[in-house]
Formats: sequence, C-alpha cells, structure tokens
Amino acid sequence: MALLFPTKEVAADASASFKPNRYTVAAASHSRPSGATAIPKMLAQLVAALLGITPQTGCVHQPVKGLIQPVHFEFVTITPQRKRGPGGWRASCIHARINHGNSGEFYICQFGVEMPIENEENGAISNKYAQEKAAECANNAAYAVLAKITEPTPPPLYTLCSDIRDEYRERLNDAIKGSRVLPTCDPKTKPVVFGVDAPF
Amino acid sequence: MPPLSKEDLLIIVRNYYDSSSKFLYTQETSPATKRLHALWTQRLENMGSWNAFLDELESKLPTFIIGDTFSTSDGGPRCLVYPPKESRSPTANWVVVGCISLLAPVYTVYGVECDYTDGGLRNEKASFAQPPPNMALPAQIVARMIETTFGFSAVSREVAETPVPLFVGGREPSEAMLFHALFTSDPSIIP
Repeated sequence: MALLFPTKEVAADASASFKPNRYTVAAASHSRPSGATAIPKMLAQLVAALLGITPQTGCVHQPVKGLIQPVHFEFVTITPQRKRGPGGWRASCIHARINHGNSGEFYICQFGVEMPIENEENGAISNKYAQEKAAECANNAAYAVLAKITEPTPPPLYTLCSDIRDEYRERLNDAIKGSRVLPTCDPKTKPVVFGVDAPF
Repeated sequence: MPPLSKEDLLIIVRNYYDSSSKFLYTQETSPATKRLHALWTQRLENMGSWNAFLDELESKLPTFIIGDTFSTSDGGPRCLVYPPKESRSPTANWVVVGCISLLAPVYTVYGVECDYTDGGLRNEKASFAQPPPNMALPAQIVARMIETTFGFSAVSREVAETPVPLFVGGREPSEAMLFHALFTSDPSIIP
C-alpha cells in the first residue's frame, strides 16, 4: 500500500537540519506501477531495505532509521507530574500527507502521539527517549503495515492512515506503557508535516 | 439532582465527538473536538482538586502505588491504584482504574488485568468484572472518594456499554460505547 518515501534531501539531511514547527518534506514522485499484486510487497521490501528499517517487536533499543526522526516529535508537556510515580503527560503532533501516486490526490493523516512523563516500568521517561521510541515505532509500524499489502490501496487513503495508526498505537504502547496514538492532536501541540507516498 | 439517564448522556456526548467522517478529511479541528478541548483547557488550568484527590487516595492506601493518566482526547482523567510490587504475581494482577468525566457528573471504576514480568505490566486487558479480593478494598475506596470529593454518580455497566454512533478517539462509530465517550477510548492502556 504505502510507505514513507524519502527524497534524497531528506535521506541526506534527516538527522541534522529540521527546523521546529516549520519543517515540510517534499514528497518523492514516482510513476504508478501497473497491475501485478506482487509488486507492492517487493516495493515495500526494497524501500524498507533502502531506509534500513528492520522489523522489530517492542521497539527495543535500536537506532531510528527511515524518514521520521526523533527530532520530529516535538513533545510539549500537557501536565507535569504531581509527584513521583506514574503520571504527567506529554504530546506531539504529526501530519503525514499521503500522496496517491501521480494522481494529485492526497490525504492528511494525523497522529496525536502522547505518552506519560513517568510510567511504572520505565520510571521517569526523558524527552530524548520519548522521541527515539516515537520515531522508531512509527517507522516500524509503517513497515509492518506495508509488508502485509498484497494489492493496491484504493482511495480514499483514510484506510491506510488508520491501519498505520492502529499498528503504531500497539507498538508504542509496548515500548512505553501508557502511550497513545490518536487521530486528533492536543491543541497545545504544533503539527510537524511530512510528505508520504502511497506506491500506487 | 436526579442521576442522568442513558438518553441524557447520549445527548451530552454528541456535543463532544463527531458523528460524521467529515472531520477525517480536513486539517481543521472540528467544532465537537474544540468543545472537548475547551473542557480540558479549563480543567488543566485548575488541577488542584484532582491532585488533592490523588493525595488523599495515597494517604488512604499507603502500601499501594497511585498514579494518573489522561489525554485531552479522553472524556476525563483516570486515577490508578497498582498493587504493591511485593504482592504482584507473574499472572492475574489487577490495577484499579477510577475515571471521572468532564462531560457529565458521572464516574466509573474498572480494572486492568495484567501479567507482571521483567518489572513491567504485560498483556493488559480492561475488565468490568468484580475485582479480586486483594483489590476489592481499593476499588471501594476509589468509588467512595470520587463520590464524596466530586459528588459524581456511578454509571452502571449497562449504561456504559450503550453503543454511541460517534468517532471516539481511534474508535469508529460501530465500536464506540458511552464508556469510551465519557471516559477513555483506550481503557486497557495505562502507564
């Protein structure tokens, strides 16, 4: 169905030059493959290999590779901890623009990425760790959804969006208990926008 | 004031969640979501009563671990009572979850059943059954304290399980219930 497709500029620049709140990635353009249902999976594997994404469970201590980088998750504190113990809340917002081939059709998929400041298992969760896991799980979720695709995604692209979001929710909550991935963003957050291409 | 009926609650929650999928095709925040966010903005400006409630809960249950969690996409905040670490077993643990709603003066108490391995909770599942004996007292204390502190009424399980044809959190209208709209769309997710 779809995957996070980096432009050359993004791939080269991913870890160094993002500017908070104003970053927009230009979507990669490519022609729409015709027909065969085996192509999406091959394409997914090829792109995943190029991105260096390795499917993992639990998002455990692996460097983040791929289009979305930790720095893109601009967490804001919604409420500080009352005292030590599970609690506090932080949120960030991603708007992924999913482009449908060369048709000009696109869909903005919102990800409200939220998590506690402290949970039972990890104790206090640093902003850096939160960003790393948020990015890692996002990339892995996109890969996991893509790898299951056996036929082209029909418009609307909402279905693809919600499939990735559901997968992402599960993975992020496995990595950092208490985390949520929602279709709306907290009003205190500022969306960071990405271009994402569906391969059809 | 008489307790709110199921019909009253259905009317109330429609103000805060979308019934149409139109909002999924725009970057603008829908009027319903804006109303929900406005309630949260008010609440977040004054967390004093909630924090005082948690402090008191902690003093009444000194051997338990107390926490809280909420997203501004939820219907209200949730408090958590975890069993003491030394009393946990590899399977069949129960975390008491007390929820109050910002949408209406109602509350509920449920449980998250989970395993406990490698220092963390695993295989969490929300349960609306009676808590096990070791967590029955905390569940009662949470319910009693919500009633006395906030003056809210309990929502029965039958009312909580009423379907609501609304987009609630990540839930489609076909899978949303009053519980999800009043309290949280992800009851099994706790920190």
